[in-house]
Amino acid sequence: MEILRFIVHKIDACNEWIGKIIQWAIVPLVVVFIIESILRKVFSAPQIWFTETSYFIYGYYMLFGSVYTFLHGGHVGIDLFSERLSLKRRHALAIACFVVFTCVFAMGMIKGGVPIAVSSWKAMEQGHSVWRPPIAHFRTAIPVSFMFIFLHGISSIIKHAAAIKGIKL
Amino acid sequence: MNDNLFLTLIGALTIGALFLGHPVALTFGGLGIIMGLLFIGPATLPIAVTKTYSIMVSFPLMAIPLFIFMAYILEKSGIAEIMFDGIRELTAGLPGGLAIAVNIVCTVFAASTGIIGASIVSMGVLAAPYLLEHGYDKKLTVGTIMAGGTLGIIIPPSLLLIVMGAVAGISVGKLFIGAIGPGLLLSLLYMIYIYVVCRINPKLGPPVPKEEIKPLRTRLVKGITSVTPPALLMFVVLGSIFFGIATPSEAGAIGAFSAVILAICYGKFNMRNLYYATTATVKTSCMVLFIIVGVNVFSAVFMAMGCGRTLGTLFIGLGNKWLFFAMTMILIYLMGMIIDWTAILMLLIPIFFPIAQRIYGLDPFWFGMLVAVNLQVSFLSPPFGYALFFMKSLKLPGVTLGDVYKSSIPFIGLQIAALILIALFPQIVNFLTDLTFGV
Repeated sequence: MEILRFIVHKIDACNEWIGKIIQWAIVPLVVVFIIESILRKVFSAPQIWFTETSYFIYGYYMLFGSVYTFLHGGHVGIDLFSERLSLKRRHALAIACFVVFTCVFAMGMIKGGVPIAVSSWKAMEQGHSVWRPPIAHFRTAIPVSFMFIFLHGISSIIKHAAAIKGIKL
Repeated sequence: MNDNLFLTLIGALTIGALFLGHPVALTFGGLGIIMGLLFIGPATLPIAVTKTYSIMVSFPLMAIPLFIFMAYILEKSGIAEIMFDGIRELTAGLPGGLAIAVNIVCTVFAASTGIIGASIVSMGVLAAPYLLEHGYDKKLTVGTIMAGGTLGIIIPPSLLLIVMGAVAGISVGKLFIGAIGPGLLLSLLYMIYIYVVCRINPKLGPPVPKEEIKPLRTRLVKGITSVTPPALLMFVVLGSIFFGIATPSEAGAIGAFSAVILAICYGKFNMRNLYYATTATVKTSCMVLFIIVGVNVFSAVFMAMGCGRTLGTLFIGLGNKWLFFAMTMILIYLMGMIIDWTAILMLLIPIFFPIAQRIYGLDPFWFGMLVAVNLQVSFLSPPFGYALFFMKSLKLPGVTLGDVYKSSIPFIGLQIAALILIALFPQIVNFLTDLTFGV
């Protein structure tokens, strides 16, 4: 039991920590846009780094922010019918859904994402713009973020299973 | 027939899965992977990853977190309160004046949030007790706030229009400009309705007694000073798109930056509010964006299995432009009541927009606007509509669930009237887009 409690706490703490960092990424995103707008419109000096820098910030923000949102139950679902079930059945249904939907989705994305990321690192793939930044890290972000989604699935399954047994983790 | 049967089966399975109550984004993602592995094979996985990558490098979608950030900064700056205080004094003497004030604040505020829940909750907390205290009919009060809240769907910078433009591959800027006409039309219809019913039956929304009203001069000054800053902000955001200075994503960043400046001017900018805004932004944006990720995987598989083509063939087979129009509207309306709008747009736009444009010769901007108004109707429709859900969660004293349901009906009627008006007079949409982008 102790080991399960330890796992749940570690996973949740980790995902919380990811969120606390990534939530601030919106500030540099705004700043990058403002700097680019000023340089381009006022000084007629468009920056070659702008497009991909904004993609990077936004892409990481979107993927890792979703992990945090998931932790806080921010992803909406239709609970019209599940809320009518008994508490025990509701937890059992939640476990089934986490296994069938969340874990399968995350596993699929990890399994599909790793080979793409590996070949990108091997080829030292670069972006399409004149700036040509390395983008292998960006391809790696997909399997990594889905690994955290998967971990959240595991943590939730343990929590729901414990709730069925009447234990609060 | 086999194809249609298969499509029906997949549709039923998907809806059944959604009703299990798991987050929509992951239900779609999981279903997509399972269906793909069953019917397409291992090639599904790289497709799913590539599809997700395409969302990470989508320039239009970047506008979503930027506009949401702007909205939360504005919410914390207390702008809605100041505006409501200002405008309600200006309209207090009219029959239904306070409800009209709510509607005006919702119109401007919808423009600055685009998040229906946010508008309804903030106006419900802020204005509803005040209206009820002044003897306003509870159904009129609740209906006005809910209808005002749904304006956020269409009045730019609406999140729905950003997603629609990104998915359909049409200009988000042009959608924004095109939505100004329909948005104002709806708002105007609401105001006329409120005025007329309160004129006929003053018990519904009595004018505030003369002795409570301050002199006109004070009211005018207060009204104008309270509306000017947010109106100016909207002018900067929409104006930069209108005059072709900025793309919607850039306008979002400019809006967020201006909102921060406005918050500083109101003395409401501090670390605590910034922390609140960034936390709320990441949750709201990623809720929308992750649904896009999940449904994108699902729809890639759905298309690869040929289901999209089957559905498309059914709608091409209708043959008549108006029949097609009616059928798509009914389908979207029904789906809008149960499934999140993001998912609906992701699933149906890639199928319907090309058919509307190529087979039936419909203007995608006009068609898109009707889809947006139609989704508004479904948000207000009992028993599942989103607006009703937010209103219920506020638990206003003396307002029953039945009141919430009944209060939506006249406003649904007005929305349908607007839908018909826009359908018959495309100029409502085209007038401004032609002016901005040429014919």
